[in-house]
Amino acid sequence: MASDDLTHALAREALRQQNLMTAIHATPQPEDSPGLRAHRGHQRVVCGQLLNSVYPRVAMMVGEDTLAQLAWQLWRQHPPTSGDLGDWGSALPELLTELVAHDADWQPWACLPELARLEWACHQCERAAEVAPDLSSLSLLGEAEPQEITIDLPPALGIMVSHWPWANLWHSLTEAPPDPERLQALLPSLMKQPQLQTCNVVVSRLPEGHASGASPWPARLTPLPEGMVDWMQALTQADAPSLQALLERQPPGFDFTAWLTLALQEGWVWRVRRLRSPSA
Amino acid sequence: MSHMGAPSTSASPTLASGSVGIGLRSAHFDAFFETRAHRSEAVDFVEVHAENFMARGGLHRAVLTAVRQSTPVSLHTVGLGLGSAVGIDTEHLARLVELVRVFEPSLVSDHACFCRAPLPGQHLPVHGADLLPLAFNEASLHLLIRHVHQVQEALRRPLLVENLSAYLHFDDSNLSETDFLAELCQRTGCGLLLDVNNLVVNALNEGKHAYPEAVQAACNWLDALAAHRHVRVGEMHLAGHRPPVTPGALVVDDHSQPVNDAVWQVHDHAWRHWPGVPRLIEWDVDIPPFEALLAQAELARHRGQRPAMV
Repeated sequence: MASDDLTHALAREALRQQNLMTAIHATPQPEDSPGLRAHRGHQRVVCGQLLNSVYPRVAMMVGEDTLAQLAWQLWRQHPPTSGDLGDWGSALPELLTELVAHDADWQPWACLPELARLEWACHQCERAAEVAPDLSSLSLLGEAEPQEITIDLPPALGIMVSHWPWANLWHSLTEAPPDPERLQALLPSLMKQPQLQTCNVVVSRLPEGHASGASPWPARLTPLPEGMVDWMQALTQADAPSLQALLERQPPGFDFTAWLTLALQEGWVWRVRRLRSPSA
Repeated sequence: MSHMGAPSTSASPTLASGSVGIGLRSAHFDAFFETRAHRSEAVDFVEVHAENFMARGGLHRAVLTAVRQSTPVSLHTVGLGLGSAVGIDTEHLARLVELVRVFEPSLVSDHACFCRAPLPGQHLPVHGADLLPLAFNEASLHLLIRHVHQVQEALRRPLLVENLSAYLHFDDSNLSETDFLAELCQRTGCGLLLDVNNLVVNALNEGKHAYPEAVQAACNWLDALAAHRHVRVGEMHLAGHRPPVTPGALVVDDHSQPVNDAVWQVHDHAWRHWPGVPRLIEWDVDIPPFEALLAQAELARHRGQRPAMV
């Protein structure tokens, strides 16, 4: 095929592919071919299964049919861009926030976006890279100056800070999935407007081969004392500052030793690391 | 065997002639390890969808690590989109390269399809999460050749490319599917992953509404492929599909059933052309107890041992 012909043929093929993708995401039409309907049907099933898998507690709350509708809406508004479909679905909390804000039917469900945010954090935790705790590096705490070192938390660790008192709801849905009637009875107390109670947790998992022998999955939630929230959030930053800078930011009374004891118990510390000097 | 244009194979374990494997899905993780402990001969290899193991860590990753300690693995990707006009997602390819480096699979495969395309209003190309069909013409062949080369260079090993079950057909196809795939093999050194269930599904959807006709059409397809002597079939997929509710209704390749009788007949024909090729049982929807999958694998093994009937 001559070069110009091939260029035109490739452009036609690119347009055909774009048109097919657009048609699959479009509103169904009576004249759609069975093949197009099959592809659209497949994608609807896939996105419903994905959300059900990542957001099982939201699924319990809203029911299977509503979740399937949310999934298709999300798929069309925020379609996947990665072939690893475990990457898809992060925008559900945002979609739920919009619905709660603008749709009267959704307003009683004001806690749902927070529940979804926590489920996404668990999903991220469960997919994160495994790292072995480097306890020998703790010796740097005694050997190095605080401005020379920082503390790395495991990649699987996340912090969830919320003013919604959703902990009871979470545990109700986790330990004994309620029947619909019981859930309806629980909702008024669980979904009331926040009273500025905080419900802060660390989302983490045990290292594989942890001494307790417990399964590292699923993600664990551990309450985070109010006085440690800022500290932990600072440590989860991608480019954590030095230990000295972190300590200087803490309010009077922050107890580093108490935090370190808790963090080691819970497996929240990956390693202590020397910072590169500015000239390095 | 020549692999024209394909980089050399890695040190991954080679599957023995006649190997039979199963597609390992999360519903069967526990059952697989229990079976492996008592009946290590039950499966010769397992195949997994690579995308389900691309996360940096987690349960799936740990399971695959444990599986690989005892069992050869085939990595079957469903998301590269080898025929996508927008190109291969290099991040996706990098993740596949890492999986291949870590798990040293015996086989790596994907499909003759596209997955990615621009969508109006979206900043990045969208992934369709589906195997979308190509026209069989020079343009899509050009795209496949370019991207198969790209993947093989990155993996430093030849790829197997699977024939698709297609529900849409295009007026600008001017090559037969077998000529199209044979040309792809010739110009890239890749091999074929022959899905015989897809051949039956395609024949049913292309107007051969009775199974005997569909089987004959699928066998003719195989004969046409076999006429291209350079084509290397590196694996065969076996699966079942839900038969059409009414004659002429669209048949979807849903992997929801035991391998249909018609598919076994086409398997037997393919086996005569390519004896000893590793075969895999796929079951993805309405997944049965693990024993049912093993029974299908045993049936494949048995059919592979029967004298060839010409």
